[in-house]
Amino acid sequence: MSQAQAVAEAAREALSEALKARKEKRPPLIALGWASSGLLFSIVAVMSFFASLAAGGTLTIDRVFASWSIGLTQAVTVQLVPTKEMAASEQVERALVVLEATPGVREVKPIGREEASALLEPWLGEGNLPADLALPQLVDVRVDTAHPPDLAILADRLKNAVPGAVLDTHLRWKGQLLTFWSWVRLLEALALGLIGVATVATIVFATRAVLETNRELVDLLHLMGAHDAFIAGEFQRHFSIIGSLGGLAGALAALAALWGLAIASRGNDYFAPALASDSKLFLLAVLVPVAVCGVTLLTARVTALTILRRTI
Amino acid sequence: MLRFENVGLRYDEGPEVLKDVTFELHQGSFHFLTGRSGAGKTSLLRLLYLAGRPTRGFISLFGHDIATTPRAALPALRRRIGVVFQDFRLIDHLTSFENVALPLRISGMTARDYKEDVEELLAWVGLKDQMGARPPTLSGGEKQRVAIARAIVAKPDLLLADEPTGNVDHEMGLRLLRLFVELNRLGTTVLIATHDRTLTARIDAPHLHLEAGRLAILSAAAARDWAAEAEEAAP
Repeated sequence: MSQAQAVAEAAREALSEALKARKEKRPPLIALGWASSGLLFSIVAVMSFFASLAAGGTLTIDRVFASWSIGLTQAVTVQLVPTKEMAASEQVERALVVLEATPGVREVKPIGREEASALLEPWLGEGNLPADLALPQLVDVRVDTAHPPDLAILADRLKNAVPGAVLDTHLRWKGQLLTFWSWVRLLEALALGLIGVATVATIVFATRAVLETNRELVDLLHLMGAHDAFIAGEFQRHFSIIGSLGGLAGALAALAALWGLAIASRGNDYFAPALASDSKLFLLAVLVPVAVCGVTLLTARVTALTILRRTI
Repeated sequence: MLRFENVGLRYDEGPEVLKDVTFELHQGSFHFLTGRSGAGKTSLLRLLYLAGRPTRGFISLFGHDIATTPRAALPALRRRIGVVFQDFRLIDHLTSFENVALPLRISGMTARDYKEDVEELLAWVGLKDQMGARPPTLSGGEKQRVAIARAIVAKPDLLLADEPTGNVDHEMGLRLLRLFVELNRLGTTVLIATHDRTLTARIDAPHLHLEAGRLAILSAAAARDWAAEAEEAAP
């Protein structure tokens, strides 16, 4: 039997035993005190909270990156640096002719001085732009993303037709954004992995502690002919209840935190898209408790079985 | 059904607590296990209910050589053994009913299947009104009766009882003894470890007598003589 099959079989057995016990309202054989249960619940809830936050953060970063990326892919900018060879107005006219004749260019819009000044305001402050400062003329170009133009050829044609014309394809910015996004995804995955390891380690310690506390009871059950799987099943009953409740509590708390962030950053959609409307986040509230409960249940079972197999 | 040959047992590096123990229990037999405190009765019982393995020698239980029986096969053998522990070993957070039903629950039976049997047995040992009570609220004698009911509820092939009447009054002691005899008549092999001479005098059964880890098999008459001599020799 492969490892995956063994895990699936263990989960099936655990579920079957838990359902049987619940159906018959049988009392648990392994008693976990309120203090231990509460402590374990808190730890699982905290782990679930961080796991949900990390997963929710990944979704947010994905959304932000997607919206930025689409914006950058759809638009390129032509900068027309002032030269002595050609008047500014002629530069714009020639650039527009070249651009409009290029297949794949959907929309062309020259940016006037007022609009360019507004773009510089965050850096220079309002009204601090000298009236005689020569600004490069800008032309905003929207491209058809389904059939984009060859930007290298377009850049050459513009350079040849218009002195001082430079095509900014935002490639460098996009590359930096992609690198940043990759690192963030990697860190998120690392965080989720560490949370998973910490959860497993916590459950292993807790299971060992409960086994040690109930050593006499475990011996008694063995002497009465209980299989290891039966005893492990009794541990799972506790841990699965604590795991599911803790997982749910943590995920709901994280969801509330993300929702609060979305409400607090309302009106700043560029950096914090409307999180509350993302149905994936609600899916998260279901998936994380299920995953936390699954990890808790399997870890408790495997740990208990490993220890029990060492007994006579 | 049970055979010990030259069985020896020592804990860690300590002295041997059982030395060359050899005996055989046949299906449906009734024996007492006697001997002074520290003679090795509990150690012998531990080997019998498979709580440990001997240091040396051969043990055959229900036709299985215990030394070569895989660990996974032990639960099936243990389910054929009922044990009354001297310290009862009841589970404090379970009711009397749940404690008695435990062997049946372990064997995979549902509550619907065993409810009637467990209630009947608890009534028989005089605990009909204590079915919902938990061990901490029971007297020593009541706990002992719950422990006995738990040991016999699954109708074991072998019943091992360690001082099973130590905490009950004389009348209840005799009642419980009748229960063991009845169980024995139905085919269960019974071995009772006891100091109670009034109990052993009631049944004409051979004794497995332990003295400093060595076992002697005495007939009922020989056991009575030995007991009388021991009483006379006592200061």
